[in-house]
Amino acid sequence: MLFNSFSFGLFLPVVLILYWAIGFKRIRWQNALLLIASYYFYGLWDWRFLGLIVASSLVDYIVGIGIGRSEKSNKKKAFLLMSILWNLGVLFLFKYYNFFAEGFANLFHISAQGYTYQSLNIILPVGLSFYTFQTMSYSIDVYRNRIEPTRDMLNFFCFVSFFPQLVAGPIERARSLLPQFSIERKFDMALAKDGLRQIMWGLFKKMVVADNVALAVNAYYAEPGEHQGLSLLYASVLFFFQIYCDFSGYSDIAIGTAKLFGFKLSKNFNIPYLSRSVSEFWQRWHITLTKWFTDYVYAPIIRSWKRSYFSRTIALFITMALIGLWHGANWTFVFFGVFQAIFMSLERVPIIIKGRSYNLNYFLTKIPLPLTVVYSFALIVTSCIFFRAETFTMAETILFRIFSWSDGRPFTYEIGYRILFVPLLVLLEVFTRKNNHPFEYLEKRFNRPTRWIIYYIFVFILIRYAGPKEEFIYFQF
Amino acid sequence: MPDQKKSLSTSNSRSKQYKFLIAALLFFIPIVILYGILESTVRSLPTHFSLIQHYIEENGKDIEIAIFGSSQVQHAVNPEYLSTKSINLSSSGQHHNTDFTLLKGLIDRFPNLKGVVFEASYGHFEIPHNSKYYWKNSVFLHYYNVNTFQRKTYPQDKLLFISHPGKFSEALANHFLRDSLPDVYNKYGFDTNQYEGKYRKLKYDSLRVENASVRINNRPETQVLNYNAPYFEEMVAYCRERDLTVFIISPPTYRTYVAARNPDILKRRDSILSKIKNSYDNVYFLNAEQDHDFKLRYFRNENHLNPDGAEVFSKKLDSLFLQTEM
Repeated sequence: MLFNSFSFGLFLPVVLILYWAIGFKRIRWQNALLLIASYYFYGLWDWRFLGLIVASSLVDYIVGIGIGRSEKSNKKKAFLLMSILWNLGVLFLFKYYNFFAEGFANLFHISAQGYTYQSLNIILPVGLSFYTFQTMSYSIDVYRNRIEPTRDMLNFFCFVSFFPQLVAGPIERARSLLPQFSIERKFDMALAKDGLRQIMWGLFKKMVVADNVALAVNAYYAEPGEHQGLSLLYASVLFFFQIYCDFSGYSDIAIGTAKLFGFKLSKNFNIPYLSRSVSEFWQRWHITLTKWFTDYVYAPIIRSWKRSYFSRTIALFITMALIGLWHGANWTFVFFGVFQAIFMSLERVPIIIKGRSYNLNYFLTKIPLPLTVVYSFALIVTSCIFFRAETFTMAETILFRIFSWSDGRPFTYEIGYRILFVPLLVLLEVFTRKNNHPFEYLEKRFNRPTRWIIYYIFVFILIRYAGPKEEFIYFQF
Repeated sequence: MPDQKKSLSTSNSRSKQYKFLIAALLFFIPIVILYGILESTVRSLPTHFSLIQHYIEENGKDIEIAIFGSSQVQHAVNPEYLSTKSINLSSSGQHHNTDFTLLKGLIDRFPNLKGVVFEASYGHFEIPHNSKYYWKNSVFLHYYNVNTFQRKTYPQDKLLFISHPGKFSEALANHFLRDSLPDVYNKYGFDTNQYEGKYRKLKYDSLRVENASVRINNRPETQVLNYNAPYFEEMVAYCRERDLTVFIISPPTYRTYVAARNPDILKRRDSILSKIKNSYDNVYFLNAEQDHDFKLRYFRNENHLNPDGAEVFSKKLDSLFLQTEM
């Protein structure tokens, strides 16, 4: 069930009315309803995926209790290992097996020696990377004594499968989301209204900006060798806005939906195109994923090694390569991460001036924002070419044609006046950047009739100018 | 006292919920009403699809030939010029998977069906099939009562306006606001006023047309072809099992388009067709891609005919039908 589907438009009000009709005093009933609704929501993609999510929940629930009960550190470690093996094993089997098997076969020329490998023909369960990371972080946090293991199975299963953020995040930590299932959630009118507004903003980003822009991107990326450099540059910039609006639009809808049920989810995006550096970009883009990798990959590597610029750089490259790989089983994704790691490490090179240590990040904060934005945006867009291209050859063709300013078919906007939705989005977001989303600003500035007129205009735009329905890009991760 | 506090807090929360519910209803009800008006207006518009639906209802039992394809076939075949009772079910962007589903869904309504026309234009096999989100799925469900969604359908799948607000808004605006060049459909759902296009804008100046860019899909997609080719064969086999004569056509294209084709794509298409030719009897071909009878004035753009071109092509197709024993 897609957030931008008619079915979700019916599903949400029904679940919401039932949820509040149960009453906030009956938390367990409310949680039971959320669990049923979440499994229904997820099962609509493919009911067979439900077995996997139930199994993942069960494994980490048992692991949590096991770690909590164990006195000996070896036993705790064994339980943690069980969780890691299960979660990474599931990810490996469903997402990465073919990629690694093919890589291994190529590396050792297996087919040339007369051997073959068996590729698996299985579908990737929707949102697998999101919920396995969420459950795995729970077990690690229990192991690290950061949270107490829960004995409430219902709450834990709700935490893993909470439908607003189940298939594309934000990736929530147990310490932030799990306790919310144990406390009374009183109906908060202001929070619910803000939730609706954020849903509308998310829908605008996804249906109007991302889905329209996708048309132009798909047209140019279908035959990159035929188009001139300008067209490919245009398509690459648009692709950045496509994934941004697609993914942050999903996050907005997820956060808004959770607010309707009295839950607070983590912020996942913070106007990433305003970053001054590549390092800052990752503090503004998919924030929950960055924090996950920082806490569970980058920081442990740093802790276990001698602290130096060199060790931090190695840790950075490993982390960014894994972030790239998290996005998909393709070397282009790995390069997407590594490319950014190169610039992040350069931004961190220590520069000693008069005995004091500085780095490029420091100097970038001293330069006017528009200049630094151009620097980071250019690098991010370049890396996004690897994100979008199906192969290295395709990325190479695009980059070559852009940088050599090659000739090709005449440039057109492809989507006509609809391209104006991109500057409109940027204007609204930049102008209201101190708020969580632009509609929050309206609440503070305008009276109800004016606000409603603005909302109706946006509803009109949503209906009239929505692009052709495309699945959320991040579902495939 | 604590009990009193609890009940006070519960009733307070309830009243907030009711307030929210009423505000939400007040906001959404006008939208639902307005949408209802839009939807019913769209349904009342005389469109290509509504006329075909009407034609099927009236003449389904007598239809002998069903024609399927994309916009190239839609604008190339005017059933008015066919002496065999035919229906043109093609539409823009329609691919083989939709054609096949439509054929299977409609075949029982055409008890007298003798022949089927499929399209095999240049590059057709290397373009992916229509996705499950193809906006016309709602249109086919509403007008033809055929499910092309590749899944179970729900009541909302029949909503037309929301399936493609842009197209239907344009259709509403054209119908009610603009009166220049309105769509003029004949009873077969063929638009006899479809002259507007790139070549008219270039005033049919052959020099400007020669220099104009050509929109052509030259990207080799062998993986897509590997799926589409056997699928197409399955379509042909399905027809032959039911003793239906199969006509495979490729409508005329202007010489700038012909010159821009990728020879490899062309070769692959032709080898699929020759394999079909060798494997099945009663399969006939009409490839007019390089037919010199089609002068510049017959085209709307490089690969779409205008109604005058459609007349010529339809007559050629008619001769083929007449020569064929069905």
